Amino acid sequence: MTEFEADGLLDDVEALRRRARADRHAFRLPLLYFGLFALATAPLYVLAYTLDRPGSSSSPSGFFSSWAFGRDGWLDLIWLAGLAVGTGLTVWWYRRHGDLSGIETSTRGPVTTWTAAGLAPLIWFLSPLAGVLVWFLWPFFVRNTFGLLALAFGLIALARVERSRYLWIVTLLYTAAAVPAVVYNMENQYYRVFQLLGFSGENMPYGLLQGSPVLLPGLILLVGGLGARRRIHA
Amino acid sequence: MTHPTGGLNDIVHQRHRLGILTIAGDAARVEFTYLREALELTGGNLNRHLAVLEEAGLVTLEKGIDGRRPKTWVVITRAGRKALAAEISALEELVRRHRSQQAETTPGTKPQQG
Repeated sequence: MTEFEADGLLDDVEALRRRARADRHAFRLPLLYFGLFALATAPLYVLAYTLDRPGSSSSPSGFFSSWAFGRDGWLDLIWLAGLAVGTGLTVWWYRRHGDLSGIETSTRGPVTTWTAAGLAPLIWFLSPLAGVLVWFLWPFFVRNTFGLLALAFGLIALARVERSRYLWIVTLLYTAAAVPAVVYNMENQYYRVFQLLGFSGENMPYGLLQGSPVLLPGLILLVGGLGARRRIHA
Repeated sequence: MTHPTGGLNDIVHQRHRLGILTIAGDAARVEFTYLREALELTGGNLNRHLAVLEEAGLVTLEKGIDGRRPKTWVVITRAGRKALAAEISALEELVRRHRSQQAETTPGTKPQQG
């Protein structure tokens, strides 16, 4: 075999790989769904803030806002439900895309990751040992935004199986926006932005700012989903 | 050191079978029609190549039905992935070796690294 034949075969292999990859990519729907879901949780953080204020009678769910889950633990459960629906939707969508295009991507990695990471806040709140053995992880759970990070882990797993540069960029941008929203009070930064825009202490929309941490990560996924090419060879 | 052609597997080395393994290696599973179109083969030819690969344990075939249409899905096995990786390495090594030999015989050129 000559160098030219070997080189030609390697070129063929690369071209086939590129084609197969482009044909099996189906991350548009998961990005759109999770982007919309993250944005949809923003009003819930505003609601939690309103209900937590002194003088407010109760939180919306009795048990799930009890000592076990923390006052706003119901937000973690909503994230878990959103991740579960998103995981199911992703599996269905990839199956459907595989049936239509004739080439299917494995969703086992993202599904396992979303499920395991989505359950992390529950394990944290319900296991008496979790707070003792891994107490240093508390910043990840105290703001009830861990769902953003769980979503990031699953997206990283999805980007690995999709082997798409575009999805990696969206995932990394999203993760860069999600991590501060989980471990830091991002509303402080938005507060400063509002101050720069001329809002003073009295007319500052404190309540609305509580929903701000999920906005940027959600927006990144939504724009990423809208920008993803739709390509199905039926 | 053995010549890189010694690493070429006769079953995998055939252009179309290498194509089948390449596509299947990049996906969880791939459908017969997709392979036929991507590799520009006739159904009969593709069937023959698949039979060779299946017999060698490099792919498995899953029969299914989509509506009324029967579908055949091709799934690469672990052995198939290994054989594909070995074939690609052997081809890359062959190209590297040819290039460095060429550079040694051509004055004023430097052999390529890596």
